[in-house]
Amino acid sequence: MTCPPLKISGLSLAAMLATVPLCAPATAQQRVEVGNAASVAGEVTLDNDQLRRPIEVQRRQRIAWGDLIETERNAQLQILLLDRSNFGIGQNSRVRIDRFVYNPAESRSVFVSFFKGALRFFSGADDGEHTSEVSTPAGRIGIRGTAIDMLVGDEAEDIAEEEEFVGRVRSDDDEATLVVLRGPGANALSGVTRGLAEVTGAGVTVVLDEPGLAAYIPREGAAPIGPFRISNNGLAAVQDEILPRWARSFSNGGIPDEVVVGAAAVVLGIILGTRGDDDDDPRTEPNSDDTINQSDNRICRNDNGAIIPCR
Amino acid sequence: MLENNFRFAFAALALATAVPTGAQTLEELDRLSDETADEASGIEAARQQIERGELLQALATLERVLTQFPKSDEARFNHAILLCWIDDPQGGLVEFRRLEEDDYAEGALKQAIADCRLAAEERKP
Repeated sequence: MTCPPLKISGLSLAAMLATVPLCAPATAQQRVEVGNAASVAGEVTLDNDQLRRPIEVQRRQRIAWGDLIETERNAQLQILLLDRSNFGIGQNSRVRIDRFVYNPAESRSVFVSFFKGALRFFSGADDGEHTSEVSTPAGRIGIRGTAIDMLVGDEAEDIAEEEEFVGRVRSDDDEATLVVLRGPGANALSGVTRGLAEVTGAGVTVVLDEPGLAAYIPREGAAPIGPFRISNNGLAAVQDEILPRWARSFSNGGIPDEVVVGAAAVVLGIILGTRGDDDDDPRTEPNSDDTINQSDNRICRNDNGAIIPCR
Repeated sequence: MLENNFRFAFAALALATAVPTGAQTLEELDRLSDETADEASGIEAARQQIERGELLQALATLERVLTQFPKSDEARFNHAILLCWIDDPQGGLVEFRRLEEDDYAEGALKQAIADCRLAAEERKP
């Protein structure tokens, strides 16, 4: 079998060597099937080294190591893996499951290459050792027991640069990576492991440890900006990319401005009520005294340690 | 439909003692997929997952339902509730605010928003 190229951190590599059968020489026909297409809507294709041309994905399609999945506009797919982890792939996306190994009650590891579009990950069975890692053109996302949304490409750039914390930075619309932790948080119902994500770019890691926290890598070679709290508009836009059919099912086709304003007021009240004084949250606002300059590899932080655009 | 929402709420009470279960075969994954090819059975599958404390899997199940039935009032509502339960009130409320009051019993949406807010406050350490 051909082992797909992987970008692996030192920690992940150590974990993999300890728990995962290494790639062994195998015939070209061998497929390691690790999941299925649990739901499909719109135009979704699958390609791999053994196919002469991409095939249309149907529900129940087996998904194997090295399969490259592509979705078109208004298409979406959910891949269920054997441990019930799942990837929700949104519209205009390209994703490849590089490797998934699951030893029930002992360990599991999943490595995914996410080239463009929208991707949501829900972790599965909460047992044993976990290693979950998503590589994007700009960086790497390490995941632990979590619900997480990720965007790569021009939508990531557009949404991130609307965020006050990020503002205008030098982004590459093929590489820009936006990551939003969705949960579970510390206040989740009992029995659920708290989620955490480590977003790494240019050797710098930003940790997301509360739902609603986000990080943005504007391009390859740039450090992640964040963590910052994503706005309601930003969160809604991310959701629309991941679940486009859901978004378009509403009569207005999206969230009207007046509703977003209303939701923002309610959410603000909740966040203030559950997380203490968010006005003092260092991850909410960048240092406004700085000026924009993201053209070099400097790492700029505000007084509270969050990485901000160098200004 | 609101009755089912209350069923979800009662199911949450069992979470502390729930034992998660995991699929281990591709055939089992197909069965999970088949469940969500029908709106009602998909929502019922999500309810059972909630009873076992599998909140993230329940969210995924509802998203499969919403892929096939994006206008499912019950799936939309319960998806938002589950976001609140995993401590993502911002996400839950963004979704609640998209729903139409007329699709639910009078006051249901407002009550759900209030419950989301209250539950988050009650779980505050």
